[in-house]
Amino acid sequence: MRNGVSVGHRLWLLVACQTAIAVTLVLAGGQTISRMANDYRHMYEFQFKSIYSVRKAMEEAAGLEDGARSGMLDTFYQRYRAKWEVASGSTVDAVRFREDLSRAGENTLPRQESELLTKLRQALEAKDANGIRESLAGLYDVNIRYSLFAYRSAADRNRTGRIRLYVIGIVGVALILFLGLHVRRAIAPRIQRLVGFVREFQNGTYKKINDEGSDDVAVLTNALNAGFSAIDSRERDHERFLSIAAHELKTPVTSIYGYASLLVSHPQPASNTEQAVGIIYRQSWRLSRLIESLFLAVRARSGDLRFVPKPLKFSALLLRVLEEMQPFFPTAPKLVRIDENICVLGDETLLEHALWALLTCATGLSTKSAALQLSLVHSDTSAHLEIDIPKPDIPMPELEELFMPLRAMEYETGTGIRSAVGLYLSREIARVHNGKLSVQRLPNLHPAFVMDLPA
Amino acid sequence: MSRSAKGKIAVRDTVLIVDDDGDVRSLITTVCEINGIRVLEAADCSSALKVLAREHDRVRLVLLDYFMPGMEPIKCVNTVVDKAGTSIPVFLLTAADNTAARAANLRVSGWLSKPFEVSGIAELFYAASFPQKEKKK
Repeated sequence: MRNGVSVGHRLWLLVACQTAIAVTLVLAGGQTISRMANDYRHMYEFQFKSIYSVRKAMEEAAGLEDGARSGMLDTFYQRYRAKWEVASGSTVDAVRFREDLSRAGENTLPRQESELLTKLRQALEAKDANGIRESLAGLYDVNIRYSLFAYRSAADRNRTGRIRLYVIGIVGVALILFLGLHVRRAIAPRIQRLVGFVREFQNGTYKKINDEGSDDVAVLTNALNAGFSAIDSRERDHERFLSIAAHELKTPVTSIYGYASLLVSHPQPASNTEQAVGIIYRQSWRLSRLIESLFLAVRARSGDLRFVPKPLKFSALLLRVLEEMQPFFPTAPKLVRIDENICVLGDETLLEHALWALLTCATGLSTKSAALQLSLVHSDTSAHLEIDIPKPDIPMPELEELFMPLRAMEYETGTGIRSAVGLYLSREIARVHNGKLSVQRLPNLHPAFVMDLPA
Repeated sequence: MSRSAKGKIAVRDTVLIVDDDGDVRSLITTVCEINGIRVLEAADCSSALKVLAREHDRVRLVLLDYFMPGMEPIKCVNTVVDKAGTSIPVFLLTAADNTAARAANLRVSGWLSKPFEVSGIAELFYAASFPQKEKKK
């Protein structure tokens, strides 16, 4: 049975087969019983009753003298003759009985009976007592032979019927067993594996399960596999995201806490104090940005990102963010072209976060000490921002992954890439502004973050 | 003390700080200066290896950040530990989670989890037997 046949179809086939076999058995059994009943009725009607009536006639004829007439014997003859005509007629039982006689080579019996009846009629007409007794004795003998033959025929048919029932029963049981086992073999192990798979997943272990069929079980398995894989992947993403988010949060806290404790333990000299306060201020700003980004990312994920648009100068906003981030750039970004007075209808807070996240990621991804290249151009209907990442060997799929929810790139990826907590939020912010954010490969082979906003 | 290539007796009196975060390097440098300890800085693993190759005889202690750009963390730690040899203890500084488990699988002398107390850094100097600066009376 192919794995493409549905489970319902397999079971339907099994039930249909069982029903067909059961119906065949009932019909065959009924037919056998009916034949047996016919045989016994025929034996009773035409053999036993005849023997009895011939016996009675023989008793009457025993005391009969030549020349005398018996009304009882005349009646016997009339009745026997009528019955003989029925028995040698064209009824189903009569035809079958003659066929049985013919098969058994007993064709002479009906002829003998007919001759004896003719003799009996002549003897009754001639009032020949001896002739009557001889004819009746002959009829008695013929009927005894009939009954013996009928008994053997019935017994043979009975045996044949039983054998036929046994054969149908055995073949039916074998067929049902074969089909049942086949269906079980095709379904049960796969369902058992599926149950094991679910139990393992409940215990926290995810293992991919393969089912190469195309039936209902395979569809169910593949759907379950896809669902569990997605849950597992989501769990891993959550864990990785939390791990990286914690790492990103701890980094500014290290500087803040360290310099604060230094100020407490060593307030002198004043130059240290000035430096410490400057670093604490800068890292606090970075920390608050990170925390705000995490909150906004969670809101964006749940579709609850608050968007309060107002007309604002996007170019001025970009320059302000660049200035605020100046201490975090290893090398100052190169502003290739910044068109002034580009106005957009947008949420300043959200756009500020988007720009901060983009610039942080671009810096982290860049080759050490290489400057980012920025351009903000006003086209017909949009503000087009390009942030060139000066590192040509970053695979584009890895950059695309940064835009997935709760995604971050770790250092362990082997590419040496450093990044923040992903760009999902930035893309969502661009989307709510009816704009788009993508990563593209520039003609100089560098990847670049490209943001287009309606302007 | 060890004998340098030129035959001069070198004094191991320097801490090598390897961290990509400039503020953290600056913080530890300040703590070192307060304790009168000389400092060498490196912003990534390859720079640290160059410094170690050049200043091996002077370095008494390496404070190594775990996550840094340019090299996988485990490879970075193993390379630096190999380069430092048995004479220079390498301590891990990291903001990563499960620091103890990570450190246990590496051949480092110890670890300090970020954010750390300034006194924690000073204790590392003590553990490395740095000559302590005399306090002014």
